[in-house]
Parts: sequence; structure tokens; C-alpha cells
Amino acid sequence: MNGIHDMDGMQGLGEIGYREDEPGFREQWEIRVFAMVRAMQPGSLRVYIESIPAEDYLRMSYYDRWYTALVKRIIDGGDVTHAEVESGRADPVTVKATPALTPLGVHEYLFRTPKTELDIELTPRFHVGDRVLGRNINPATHTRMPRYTRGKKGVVARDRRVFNLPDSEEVSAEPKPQHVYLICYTAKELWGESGSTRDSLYIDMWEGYLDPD
Amino acid sequence: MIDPRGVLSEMGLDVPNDVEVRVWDSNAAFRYFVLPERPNGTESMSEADLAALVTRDAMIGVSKVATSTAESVS
Repeated sequence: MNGIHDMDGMQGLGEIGYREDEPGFREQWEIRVFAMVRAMQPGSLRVYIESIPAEDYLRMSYYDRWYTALVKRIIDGGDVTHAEVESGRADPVTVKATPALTPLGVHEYLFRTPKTELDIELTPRFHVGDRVLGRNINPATHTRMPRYTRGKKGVVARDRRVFNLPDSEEVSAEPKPQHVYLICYTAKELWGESGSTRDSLYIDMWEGYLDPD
Repeated sequence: MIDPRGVLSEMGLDVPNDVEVRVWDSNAAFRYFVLPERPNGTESMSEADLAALVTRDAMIGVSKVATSTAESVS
């Protein structure tokens, strides 16, 4: 989706606001949201974060977005009802996970990273050193292909092996495993005269995002 | 992304023109960690002494490791 989240290369957003003493969390509730997301393992919240209206998205802090996305995700998934979120109390009628998650259980989840690489052999369409061209796709749903790579020429730097394509358009009962490639773009190719002749950018691209150049 | 040198400069690190900047966009399954460059003149230092030099900013790649606070980027 060509949404507000796809900000790479945008200008005019002001200074970063660098602080030497930047805390990991700015508010206590952010720690709770972080722990809830890790403990519930809701899968990627990207789709939900990207569906936040642009005017709200720009007003929200980082963990505002996490919270908004998590609530939508667990209501959509049937884990809680809208009324329960509004009241802050569990409805005794709805079925809840048992046993309830304990603080100790949360700790176990915090540092668990699911393996996303798939043990599938697929013939790669591209090889290290191949020149590739970013396809000019504009899906209205989730994609991991940022706008700034579309129509741009790069070189395959590494074959990451096989991963499931996470694009929403492709979501179905059947996973869509593809090779993912690390692609190198020159700063000049991406940003024209603004790019330094010496600099470059590396990004992972699913095979379906690319055509041979 | 369009101006990595400008971003680093805003955070106190001016990258010389003869140093290549590579931007890594972690849009997929891979994440990265920063291995700070070892400062000159630290060859005889112990692991613990070296660890004491490392700052948060050095670990997120927006500052170089200085051998003393007097040399640190301000």
C-alpha cells in the first residue's frame, strides 16, 4: 500500500530530535504494550499499523501505533470483544485461554524469535551478480516492497534463501514461498543528483518484486 | 535514507567524504547489529577496558568509539 508508513526518502519531516539520554520507553504503559505484543505473539502487526488513517498515524507515537494495531488484531482474531476493550473487564461469558499467562510465562516469550526461513528447495530465478529491475507494482494492500525501489535497477548481492511472501494480496491457505535476495542499489540510482557517488543501499527483496534487467 | 550523511551529522557524527556509507533497510526477516570500529591505540587494552569504552551511540552506529571522554563526539 502506498500509505503514510512508506516514508523512505520523504523530506520535510523536521529534525530527528536526537537525545543522548533517550529512554528505551518514554511511558510506563509502553512497557506493558511491548510485553503484551510479545506475549500474545499476534504475528506481524504491520498490516494493522498500515491501516491506521494517515492523519492519526502522524499524530501517534510509536507505541500508540502498536497498541492501536494490537487491539484491532485481537478483536479481529476473536480473542476479545470490542465491549471488553471498552470496559477493561473480561466478559465472563466469552471463552478465555487457560491457563492464564503468568508474568513468568511472558518472560519466556520476550526473547523468543520464531524462525521464518523455510526448509524448502526452490530453483532461484536470480544469482549473485545478476542485474535486476524493481517491478512497478502498487498493491493497495500490505507489501514489503517500498516505493523507492520500484522501477530501480540494482545488483543481487546475496541469496537469502526461501521465505514466505508476506504481501497481503498473496495471503491464502497456501503459503507463497520465494527466494529473497539482498539487493544493492547505488545512491545515485535511487536518489539521482542528491545521492553521493560513493554511497549505496542494501535491502531484501522477494523474488516476485523483481524482473531481470 | 535519502540523506544518511545528514542524519548522522545531526546525531553528531560527520562522515568524511572518502568513507563509503551503506544504508541497510531491514524490511524483511533480517536484523543487524553494529560492531563498532576499534579505536587506534587500544591494542594493549583488555576486553573489560574495551567494553568500558563502548557507548550506546556506538552500538547503534551513530558515534565512533573514543579512547577517552575528551575525544568523544559532542
